[in-house]
Amino acid sequence: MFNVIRRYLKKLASLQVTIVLLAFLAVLLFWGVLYQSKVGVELGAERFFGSYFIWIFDVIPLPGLYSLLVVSAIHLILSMIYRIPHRKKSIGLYLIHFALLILILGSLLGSYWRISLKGYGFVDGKTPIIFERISENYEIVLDDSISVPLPPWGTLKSFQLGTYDIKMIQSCEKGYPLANVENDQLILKNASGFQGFECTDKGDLVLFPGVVLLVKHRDWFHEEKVLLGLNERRPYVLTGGEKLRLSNQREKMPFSIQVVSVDQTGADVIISENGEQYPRRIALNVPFKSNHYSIYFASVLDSFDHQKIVLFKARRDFFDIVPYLFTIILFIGFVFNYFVFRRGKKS
Amino acid sequence: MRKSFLFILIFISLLWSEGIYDQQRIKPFDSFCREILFDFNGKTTFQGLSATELILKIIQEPSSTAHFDLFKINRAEVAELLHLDSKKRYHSYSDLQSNSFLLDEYNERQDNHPVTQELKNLFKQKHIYESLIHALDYKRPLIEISSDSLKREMGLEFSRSLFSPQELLAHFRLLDSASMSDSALWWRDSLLFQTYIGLQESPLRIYESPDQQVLVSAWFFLWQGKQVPSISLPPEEHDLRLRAEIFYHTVNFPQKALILLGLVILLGLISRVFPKSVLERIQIVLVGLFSGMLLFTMCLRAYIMHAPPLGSLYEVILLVLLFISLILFFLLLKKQLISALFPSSLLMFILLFFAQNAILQGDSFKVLPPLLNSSFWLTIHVFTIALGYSGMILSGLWAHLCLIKPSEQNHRLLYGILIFGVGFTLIGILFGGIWADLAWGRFWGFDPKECGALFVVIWAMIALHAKAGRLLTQEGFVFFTAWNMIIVALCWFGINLLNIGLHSYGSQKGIGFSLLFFILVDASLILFLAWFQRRRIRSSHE
Repeated sequence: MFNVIRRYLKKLASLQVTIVLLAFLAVLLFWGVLYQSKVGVELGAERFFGSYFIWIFDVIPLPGLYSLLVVSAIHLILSMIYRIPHRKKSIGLYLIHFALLILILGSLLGSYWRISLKGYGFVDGKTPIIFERISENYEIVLDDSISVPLPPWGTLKSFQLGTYDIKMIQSCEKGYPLANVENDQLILKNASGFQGFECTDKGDLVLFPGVVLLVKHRDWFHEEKVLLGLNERRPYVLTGGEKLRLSNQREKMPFSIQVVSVDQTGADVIISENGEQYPRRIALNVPFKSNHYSIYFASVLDSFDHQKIVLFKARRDFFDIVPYLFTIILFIGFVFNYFVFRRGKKS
Repeated sequence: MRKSFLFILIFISLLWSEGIYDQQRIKPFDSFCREILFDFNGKTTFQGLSATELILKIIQEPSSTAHFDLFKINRAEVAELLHLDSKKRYHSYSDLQSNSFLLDEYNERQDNHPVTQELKNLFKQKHIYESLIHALDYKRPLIEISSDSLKREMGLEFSRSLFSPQELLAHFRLLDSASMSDSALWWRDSLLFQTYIGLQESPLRIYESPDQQVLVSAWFFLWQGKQVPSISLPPEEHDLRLRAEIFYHTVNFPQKALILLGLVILLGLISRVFPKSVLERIQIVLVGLFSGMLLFTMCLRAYIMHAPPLGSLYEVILLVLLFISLILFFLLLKKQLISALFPSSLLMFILLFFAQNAILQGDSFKVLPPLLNSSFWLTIHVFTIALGYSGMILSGLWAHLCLIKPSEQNHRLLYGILIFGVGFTLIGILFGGIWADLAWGRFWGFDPKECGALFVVIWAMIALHAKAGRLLTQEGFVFFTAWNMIIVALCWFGINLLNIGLHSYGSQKGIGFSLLFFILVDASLILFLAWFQRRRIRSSHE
């Protein structure tokens, strides 16, 4: 029984399997890039290089990059056990394959913990940049401190948030804000100046995912109707002065960043970290890196009240050391394989 | 002696230069003129006039140049749409002006149809021409204003009746249009219009240096009430760079290098008929000269741009050519790869011809986009990846020769070159990853160009693993490696055609056809050679 298993494992370690895996990877790269040209780099990369399976017509599964990586990792381990000769001269080959194994496992594990974030801030040198996860999870946040998760779009519910009772009366992913609403005294202007909201897809118009809430303070009789849009950068200020916003799930960073000034290529910021403050520039080609976070400048735009809003992108990757580890081990492997034991090989 | 004296004279005559700030860099007036003329009709001279002479003529004597057939119209339907003679390819400003309203109308269209694109381009060129004929408006005679009421309204001196446009614009800036009379408004709009045509839309953004006027067009700054900015570089150094750029364009080293390669090819053909070792030696010397010329070109470009000459596809092609020629020269000196001399020269000739004619468009000295502005890692990454691609291209070429002349020594050399190529491509990718991590915050992002480079490595890895596992015969390995040139062409130029991703700066219009042509020709050649080799093996077995 053990011999049978061993025979199969040896077959799995063979160079034929290596070539099949490499060929699959080549096809995947070729196809993925063509797909990227159709749908854009990020979406194409997510579908082909960030998944276990690619679904053709939503029915037929084909191996995605992650499946190939899992099989490749097993294949590499078996190759090192069964195929590559166990002798001193093969140290280089072992190191090269070990480097690949580290890269593959690091990429797979890293993909579970890696998160992408978007951040935005005002150019006032005071307000810290808010970072939100790029995901389908949203929340309603009071005073940037307490929050409640938003139920799926279209679902209405009531909940308590701090000292407020909140009732959702509209929720839509494809919404459209209205500039003027007559005979609706309850609604106040929202942060962008809109007074109303309807759940409708207006075709070519920009979508406005949002919710309309009835907000009531538990100790007062006052009740107000509030429109929160997902893409609004400013919070809605309640009559009591508290701020309410709808956002993606926020990320609590181990540092805070305030924007002092901005131009088209970057922003001058103050970073507060571990009780210290220091100035930095985050630019198109100069990201800020700390605690496994990489923050880079995306763009700058004017808000409705002509104040500049600076947009950032960020990424958290606990395995960001892996490519460097891979590079170093690979180099050592090359040196051993092609230089240290070269003479011996010839003989 | 006399020749070298003449050369020095030519060089000294080129030292005259004037700086123009255009497209984010200060360039010589000569380069500026070449680019404009190239935009108009794809040439750098016109009826015996150099680009500089022509542009100066347009600026100084607009009426005499209005009938010059300067503008090239590629599509007959474009000429028909503008009611022009569709049999003519070149048309004058007067021709365009006669139906200028049509151009204005077509310019409003939003579609991407090739005809619309050409019409829009023509509209832009006409505007550039108009900006040139109005470029010296600020130097035109003073404007006469005799009406006292107008003078009062504009706050001008009563004792004078002649005013410079600068003065008038400075006064207009202080006035509130709501309180201005119709005649004052007319004066203002007329002047503003001239300013708009001649300056704001003009590509001429000419700075004043602190010590002397360098072809001034300070209007734009004057109107905005700003100080005219001075050149930030030390004048002497700046002057020398401008002169170097004029020298570069006048001598045109890449063109000369192309001629050298042509000579190598010609000698190669002659040596087929009259095989003599002296011809071979001359060819080797010429390849060495070619390498030297390319090296000098790269150094000169680095000096002119004050940055590593690795910022555009054109420059990377030059670098790859330099590496190929250096590797070839090195191997030729060691008496190896002699049989590759002719095909390598032919390949380099094709690549350089392609770079000069399809890739090079207008100004080849472009300022790096800020996104790429990291000299150290840019240099390291591009340098290694170019070395890798050179190795991959040479291995593909050598595989073609192995298909013709299979031998153990040729196969060993092929294996060596392939290892060299794939090794440096991999190192280039890794250095690129480090650069991307430092500049963009991520090591790898599955950007199409990154995927392309990875594809090249995987292709080579398949060949190497198949050879190691004896899954491919020696002929099979050679056949597989022969496709390297096509793979590199697809992953290097082909990906640029997609025009997506962070590396799309390398995208160029008009290379699709050349690429397809190359792929078809090379694929046919590989298949033919493989068939021929197979037939030969079969007949030798029989």
